[in-house]
Amino acid sequence: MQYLFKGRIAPVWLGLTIVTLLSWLISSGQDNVMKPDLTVSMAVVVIAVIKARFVLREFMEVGHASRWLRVLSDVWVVGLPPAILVALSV
Amino acid sequence: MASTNADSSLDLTPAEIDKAQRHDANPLDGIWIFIVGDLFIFGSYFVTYALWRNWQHDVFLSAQRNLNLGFGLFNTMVLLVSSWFLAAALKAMRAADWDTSGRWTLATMACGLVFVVSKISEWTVEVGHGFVFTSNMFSQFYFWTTGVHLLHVLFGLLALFRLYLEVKDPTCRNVATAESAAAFWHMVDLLWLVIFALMYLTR
Repeated sequence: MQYLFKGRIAPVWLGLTIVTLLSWLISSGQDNVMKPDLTVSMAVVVIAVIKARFVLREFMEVGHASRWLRVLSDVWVVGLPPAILVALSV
Repeated sequence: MASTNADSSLDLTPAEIDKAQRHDANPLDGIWIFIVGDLFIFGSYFVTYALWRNWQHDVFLSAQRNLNLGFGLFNTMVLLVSSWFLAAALKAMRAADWDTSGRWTLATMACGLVFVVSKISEWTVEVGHGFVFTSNMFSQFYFWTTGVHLLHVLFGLLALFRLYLEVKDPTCRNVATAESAAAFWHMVDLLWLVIFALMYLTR
């Protein structure tokens, strides 16, 4: 069990779990009516890519990787929400 | 990756091994080229989904009612737990604690199998309710995206199985191979986080 709590992986996992439940709560609060809601949509997308960045940095250890990998992964994380926002809005 | 076999570093402390064997991804390393390519292919697919969602908003919103949010949340949790277990397996490996590493690798594979069974059960329920690939544009995106993702999970399970065999065989142990398998598995988790948000949670 010691390795589960070695370093930052346990707090990162706990944070990812809490944020996942939060985004589920944000969305399921709308469940009965299922109305279109761009704010809710963008909130859950932004939360998802923030979680993705933590997976990239903490579990995939991209933070210790070479510069090209850090830059490309950050381009993906930073670029995806605005691209989706534009696609949902045009 | 610049990792070396941990057996050659047994005179170092676990912390030193951990630091020394952290990957310094090589630009020519195939797995990272594949992972970054896969992320961008899925990313463009997510944007295409958002465009269609915008164009057929009522259809997508109505069709989304066929999805079971409970299944989606459960599958997300299972993959998050699997990533945690695999990170622990890698830490054990870097400390040359191979038995423990093997156990956490097996636990990760168990989570992956739970995901596969859960996903197939979810599809079975949906198809049973008449929600099939050809129902509408949303269902095509949903079954295609989750199907391709499930293929990734199955490939990931194969990679983990190979990793487990290597961990059990003292002549084959290689932290670099383990890091590649782990990176692929974490990417599978990462992609699901976005799929869950886009398919199940957006409104």
